[in-house]
Amino acid sequence: MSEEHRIPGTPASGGHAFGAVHVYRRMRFNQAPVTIDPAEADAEIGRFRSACTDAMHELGRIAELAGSGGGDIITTHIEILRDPELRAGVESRIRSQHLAADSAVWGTFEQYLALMRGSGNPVFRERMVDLEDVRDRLLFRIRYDASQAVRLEGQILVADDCTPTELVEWARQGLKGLVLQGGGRTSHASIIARSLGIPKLVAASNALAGCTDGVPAIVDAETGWFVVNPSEATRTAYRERMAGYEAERARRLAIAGEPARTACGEPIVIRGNIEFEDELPAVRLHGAEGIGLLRTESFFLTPEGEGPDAQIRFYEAAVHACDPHPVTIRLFDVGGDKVLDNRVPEANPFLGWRGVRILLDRPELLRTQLHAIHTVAARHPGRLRIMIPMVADPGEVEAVRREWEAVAAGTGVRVPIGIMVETPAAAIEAAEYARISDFFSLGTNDLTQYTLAVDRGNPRLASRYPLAPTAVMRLVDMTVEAATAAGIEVAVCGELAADPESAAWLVGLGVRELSMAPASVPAVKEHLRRHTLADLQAAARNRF
Amino acid sequence: MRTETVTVTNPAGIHTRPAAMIVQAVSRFQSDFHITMYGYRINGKSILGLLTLAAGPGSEMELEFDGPDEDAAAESVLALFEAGFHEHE
Repeated sequence: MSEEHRIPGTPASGGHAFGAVHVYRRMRFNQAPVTIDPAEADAEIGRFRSACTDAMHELGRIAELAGSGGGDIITTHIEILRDPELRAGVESRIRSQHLAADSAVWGTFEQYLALMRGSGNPVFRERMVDLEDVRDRLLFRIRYDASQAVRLEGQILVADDCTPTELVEWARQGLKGLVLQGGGRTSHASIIARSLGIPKLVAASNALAGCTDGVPAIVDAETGWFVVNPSEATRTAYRERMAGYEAERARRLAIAGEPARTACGEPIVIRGNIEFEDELPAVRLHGAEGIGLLRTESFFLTPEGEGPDAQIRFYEAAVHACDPHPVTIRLFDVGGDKVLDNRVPEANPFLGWRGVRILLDRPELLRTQLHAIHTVAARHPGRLRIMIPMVADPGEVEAVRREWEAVAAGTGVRVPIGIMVETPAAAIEAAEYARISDFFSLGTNDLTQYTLAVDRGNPRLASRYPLAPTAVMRLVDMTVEAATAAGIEVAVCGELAADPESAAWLVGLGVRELSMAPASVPAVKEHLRRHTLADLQAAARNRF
Repeated sequence: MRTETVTVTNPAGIHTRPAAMIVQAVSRFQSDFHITMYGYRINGKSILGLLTLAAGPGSEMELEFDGPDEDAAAESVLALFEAGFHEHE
C-alpha cells in the first residue's frame, strides 16, 4: 500500500518535516503478552524494579504535597508497590514465562483484579480502582523508560496525545515532527513544541489508523496536513516550500538580532518564557534579552524531583544561557491544569488549591525553593528575580515575604520579589500590591479566563471571545497605572505579549517589558520596530 | 512459631487502611507472617493478599508468626486488632 494519503490537522507549532513514521501508543494496555529472550530477564527485572522505585518516589512527593487530605490512599498505593507477593509474581513471570516487564506487570495485576471482580463484594470496587491506578502508574514508568531507548532520529512520531515531559524526551532523541490525534493548540505541550521548534499537528483524527511504523511521511504544520506516503510530485512541491520557509526563518532570525525598540527609538525589553532546560538555547537564538518567566513546575514531572540540587543546577543553567540578562523565576505554580495530586480531586481546580495557596500550606517547599534561588543569586548578583503566582490577597504576599526575608537575612543576598498579576483581584487592588511588590508581571492567560469566567481549554468557547477583551485591557491599564505611580516595573508574560498586534497595544498602554515563547520574539520585534510610540498609544486608547 | 486467633471487630472490616497498617507494622520484623481465613492462606506482609481476604466484621482469622522476633511481631499486630485500627479516633 503506497498510495499518498492526506490527513488534515491543526498546526500547533509551525514548520515542515520529512521523515519515517513512528507510531506511539502509550496506553496499549490490554495487549497480547510480549515475550523476551531469556538472556534479557535480568535487564527486564531491573526495569521493573526501577519503575517501582520511581513510582514510590513520585508518590512520596505527592503525599508530602497532599498532606493529610490524600495521605491514606497514597500510603496504600506505596504499600502495593512494596508488596512482596506482587513483586515476586512479576519477577517470576519475567524469568520463567519470559515476559517483558510491562506484560508481566499486566498479567500479575490482572490475577488480583480477576479475584476481586469474581468476588461479588461491593467493597472490592474501590480497591480495584486503587490497583488499576498503581498498575497504570507502573506501566507508564516502564514504558517511559523504554521510550528512552528508542531512536527517534529523523522520525515523525504519531500518537494519541503527549505530555510536556514526553515531548522534551522525544526532542532529545532527535524527533523531527509530531502528529497527535488529540491535543490542543494552546496546550502546555504545544507551547513547548513551539519553543523547541518541532513542527506539530494536533486534532489529526484517525492519524494512527492511517499509518504504520517506517512509512515515509510529511508533516506540514504551516497549512495543516499530515501526508503519508507522499508521491514524488508532492515531495518536490514540499522541498520547494520548505526552502522558502527556511529563507523566511533565516530572515526572521536576522531580525531577532536587531535591538527591540519602536520606530521612534523607545526601547522595549523582550524576554523569553522557559520551562525546560532544553529550551534555554532558544532564548539567545531568537533575540530575547533574558527570561521573563522561568516556570519551575517541571521538577515535579521528572524522576529526579524538586530537591535543592536539581533546582540549583537548573537556575544556574538559565543564568548562564542568557548572560548578562536577568532571569525571573516563578515560584512553583502547581495546581490548576498542572495537577500534581489527582488523588484529592477538586471540583474546580482552576479556582482551587494552586499557586501561592499550596506554597503557604507547604512552607518547606517554599523555603527549599527560596534557598536554592538565593544560593544561585549569591553567585550572580543582580541576575535573578522572584515572582509569586496566583495572588488574590495581599496577606499571601506578606506571608511569602516573611519567608523571603528570613532566607535573605540568612544568606545576606537580596533578590527582588514581585507578583504575577493574574487574578482580577490583584489587578483591581494593584495600588495596594505595588506597596509590597518590587515588580509586577501580568499573566494574561489566567487574567483573561478569570475575568470572563471562560475556561481556556474548552473548545466550544475558544473562538467566541476576542484574544484581548476590553475588560482585560482595562485591568491591564489599571495595573500599569498603579505600577507607574509606585515607580515599579510592570511586564506582561502571557500569550497576549506573543501576538504582535496585542503586544503593540500593551506597549501603547505603557508596558515596556514583554515576555513570550522565544519563537514568537522575532515577529513581535519586527512589528514594534515599524511603529512609533505615539501611533501605538493612539491605537491603544482607541481600543476602549 | 506462634499462632493467635483474632476476630475482626471494626465495622468496616479489613479495608485498605487497616490492611496498610498491618503490613506496615509487620514489615519491620524479620519473622514470616501468614493469615489463614476459611482455609485460605495468605502472606500477611502482602497488602494485596490481605485485601483479597475481604475480611468483614466478625471474620475469624488465624495469625501465624514464625521467626526470631515472632513475639514482638505478634504483639504489634494484636495491638492493632485490639484498638480496632483506631477507627474511632
